[in-house]
Amino acid sequence: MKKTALSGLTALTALFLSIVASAQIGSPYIHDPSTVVECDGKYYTFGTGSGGLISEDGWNWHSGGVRPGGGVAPDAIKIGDRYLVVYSTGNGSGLRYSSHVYAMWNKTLDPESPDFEYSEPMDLGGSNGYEDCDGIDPGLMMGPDGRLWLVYGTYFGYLRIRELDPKTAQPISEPVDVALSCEAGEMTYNDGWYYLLATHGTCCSGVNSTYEIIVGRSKSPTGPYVDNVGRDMIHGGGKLVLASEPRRIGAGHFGRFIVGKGIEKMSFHFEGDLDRSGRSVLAIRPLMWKDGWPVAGEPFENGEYSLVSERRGYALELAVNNVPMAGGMRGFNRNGDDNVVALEDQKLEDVIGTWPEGEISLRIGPELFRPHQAWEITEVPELGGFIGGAYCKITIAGTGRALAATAGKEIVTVPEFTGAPEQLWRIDRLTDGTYRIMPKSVPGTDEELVLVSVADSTPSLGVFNPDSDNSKWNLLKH
Amino acid sequence: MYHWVKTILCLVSASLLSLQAFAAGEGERAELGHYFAPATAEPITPDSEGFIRRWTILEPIAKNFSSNAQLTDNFLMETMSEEYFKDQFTVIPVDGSKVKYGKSTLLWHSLDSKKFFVNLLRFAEGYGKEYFQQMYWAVAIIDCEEDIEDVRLAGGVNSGAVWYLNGEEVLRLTNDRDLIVDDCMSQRLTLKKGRNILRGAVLNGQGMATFCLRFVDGNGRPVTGYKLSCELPKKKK
Amino acid sequence: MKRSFRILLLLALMAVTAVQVQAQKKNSKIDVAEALKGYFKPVTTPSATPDAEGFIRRWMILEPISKPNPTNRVFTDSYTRENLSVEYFPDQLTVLPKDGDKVKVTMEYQPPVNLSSNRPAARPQQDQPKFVKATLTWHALDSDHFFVKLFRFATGLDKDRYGVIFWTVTVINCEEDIENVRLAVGSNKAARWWVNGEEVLLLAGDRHMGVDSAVSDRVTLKKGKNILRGVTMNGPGMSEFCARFIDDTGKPVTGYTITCN
Repeated sequence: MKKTALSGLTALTALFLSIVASAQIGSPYIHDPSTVVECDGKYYTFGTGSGGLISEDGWNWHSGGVRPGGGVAPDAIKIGDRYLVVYSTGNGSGLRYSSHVYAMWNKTLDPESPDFEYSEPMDLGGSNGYEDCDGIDPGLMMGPDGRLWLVYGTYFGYLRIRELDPKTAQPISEPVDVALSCEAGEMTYNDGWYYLLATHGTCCSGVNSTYEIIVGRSKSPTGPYVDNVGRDMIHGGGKLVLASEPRRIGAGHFGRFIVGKGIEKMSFHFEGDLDRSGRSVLAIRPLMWKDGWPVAGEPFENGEYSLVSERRGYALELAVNNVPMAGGMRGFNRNGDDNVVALEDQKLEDVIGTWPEGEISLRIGPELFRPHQAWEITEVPELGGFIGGAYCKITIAGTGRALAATAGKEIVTVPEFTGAPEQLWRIDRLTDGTYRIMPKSVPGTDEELVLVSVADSTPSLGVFNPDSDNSKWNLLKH
Repeated sequence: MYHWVKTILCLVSASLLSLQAFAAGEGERAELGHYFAPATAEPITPDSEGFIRRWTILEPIAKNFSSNAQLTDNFLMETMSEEYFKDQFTVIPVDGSKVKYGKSTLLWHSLDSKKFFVNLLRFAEGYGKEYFQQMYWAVAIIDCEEDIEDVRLAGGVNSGAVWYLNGEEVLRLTNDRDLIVDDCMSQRLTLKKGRNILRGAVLNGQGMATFCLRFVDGNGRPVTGYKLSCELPKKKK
Repeated sequence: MKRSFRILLLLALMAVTAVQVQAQKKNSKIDVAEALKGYFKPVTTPSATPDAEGFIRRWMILEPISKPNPTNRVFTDSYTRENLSVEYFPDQLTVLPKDGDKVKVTMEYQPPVNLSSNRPAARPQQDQPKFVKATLTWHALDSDHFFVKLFRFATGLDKDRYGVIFWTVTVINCEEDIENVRLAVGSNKAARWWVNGEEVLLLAGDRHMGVDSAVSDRVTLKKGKNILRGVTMNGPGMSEFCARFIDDTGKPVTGYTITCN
């Protein structure tokens, strides 16, 4: 891209400064979102009321989803080649806590598709208005054994779980009480445990909401679901997953979205986004697993980082001459009578004159916090994104020198960032807390390749392997 | 999602979609007996997890607050500084005795909860009272054979409460809480040899109204070595 | 403590105690098999294969060329490139030597190290380097290990051991093209590597040998004969390398044979 184009890009960037990059962009306004589901390359979520949101890339969301039935807090799941959508609404009795869950099938979630047609709603049961249950906020889970489960309920009594027939979605078991003092239940299975995620706290108060996502786990889908201090969720137990983050308040209505092995996201809403008039917005964050518990990842934060390989712990660096720092070894004297002074870090201006001007190749070397290892990672939301984040540019701090993928499936730095797709990087937090770093595209190939440590000292591009530390990086804040 | 919002949405949705096919099931009003049994003259112990199930509870007093988000520290303190009935912080109520509150007469009921928690909404409903925007007073009588030192009062409430042991405030639960076992704890206390009075008031605006309380020791284990009793009228005794 | 620093300390100690430096033997009639026992065997078979992990164990190795590097801190990218670009002997980037071939070089003189000390040390840098002519011999060897212990090659043959340059070359014979492989080298210390005359790796820094410590870009081993050449330079301390080809999934490539003239 030429300089004029680059200044245009800069202006565009300024326009987007008002957008907090780690929020979804577009019009992600929704309350009580269903778990994000992918259908034919697009992403969908439905909310309370009618309709829902659609995204082409998982980053830019707009209204357009279609869901009849109204009611509250739907959920959706893909089963085989069909989609099952559940929601809840009053059952017509007019009693305050009389609510039922209804289910509809559809072959697609795309309203433009000729196959788009919801089946007649089926009543999956709920609450009669007198019992200690409020049959709303349904959540669906397909277990590892192909058994389908429904959870529903609110603070008004118990959350209940019952099994559904995965072919028809009709209930095939009586409901079991599993939790108190929460709502918006969602079940999931991971590594031998069933998890009940739910939402606790005050909803529907905008920026004054105290909604928070909690979790308990069980070896059985019907509980007991116990928290990290051994407290049963039926005693109000629950380990916190996420409450709020700076500028975004009240996390609720968890959904789990598995991108692929080792890469998971959680979808939910924040009750109040301070950057968006305090409105309720869709949020997508990394989902990690630590010691058998789900952990919410923070949104990506622009800043200066070392890119440290999980393979060896070395840092991605420009392949340039190591410029020694002044001082050097001070001897082995252990006397404390020396005048101790603080030495300055090596600065960019100390070394940049020794670097070549054109492309500079890369290697991985011991972390020394030197300028040739300092990477400024900045989201460029105006250039698009992916599920859970905006593409980033990765430049040597204090310069325009940008990391880029090459046609030979290698990496290089170019003197200036131009916004070309091979210079845009998708950074995904992995379930183990490390990061996958992937160019938006690699010239000359359609392969999806990621930044790898092909050797201790050598970076390259390769196929992502979630079981290999070669594919994983850590971002060490400078 | 808060129920009143949902209710409106549900009703609108239901009417819009004419889902008459999904008519209400044949629900029945929950019986008080499902949640409580009348207390007897025979003292009981806490349950195996230490929960205090014998309480003498006053029929609810209406309080004008619509949202549980109003249950701040200040709101609770101001609320508790009002006198609602005579000797409200000292009375040891007798089952069936009356309290005058404004123009209404409220009764104390000595009950044993059938659950680890006390469901105040069902209590109010069972006695035909309003159950939203209410204040519920409750008293437990604790008899110890010896001093029990270094215990904590541990509890959860839906939605706010203040608890007093032997006249001293020991536990305040503010800001729209939920029924969570050991959600909050007092500082270390001594249950003295003889009679101890545990007293409190629970406030609830909308939704469920419940509380659970127990004493735990320094290791977080439930304390069960005491008796719970109530004052029954002479004829009942 | 960095070894180089320790060596400097030892040098100071040596000066104080005035240890008599023994002259290094100039040994021309050496039994190579015996001298390199435990590390190398002279090549006796027409061809070899990589070992099960893909390591190349058959090499032609030239006796070390003296290049006194007083410390291992000098091996920056530019120093490595500059000093390993010097022509030390004719056709050094193209020659395919036979076992026993001789090479005449002019190299910087360094006095023998003190072998009576616990920690033999490199000599301190001199103000005015002296240059000497030397005749060095190529040896066709099979390593007993996955690595090539250049230090033991030098000491076994009673040559300069610190501050030296080792030229190594081998021939990779393929029945078919093998595409998208990478040369993976672990190296103590600085080195340059070429495949079929193209430089594929420059290894700088005070580095140590780790398997697959650095790899080349993807290369093709073509059908027929491929020349793999490396030159390794050290200062004081150990010198060795290990080399193999790996495929795109990091697995070793073993489907070829290795020959020496």
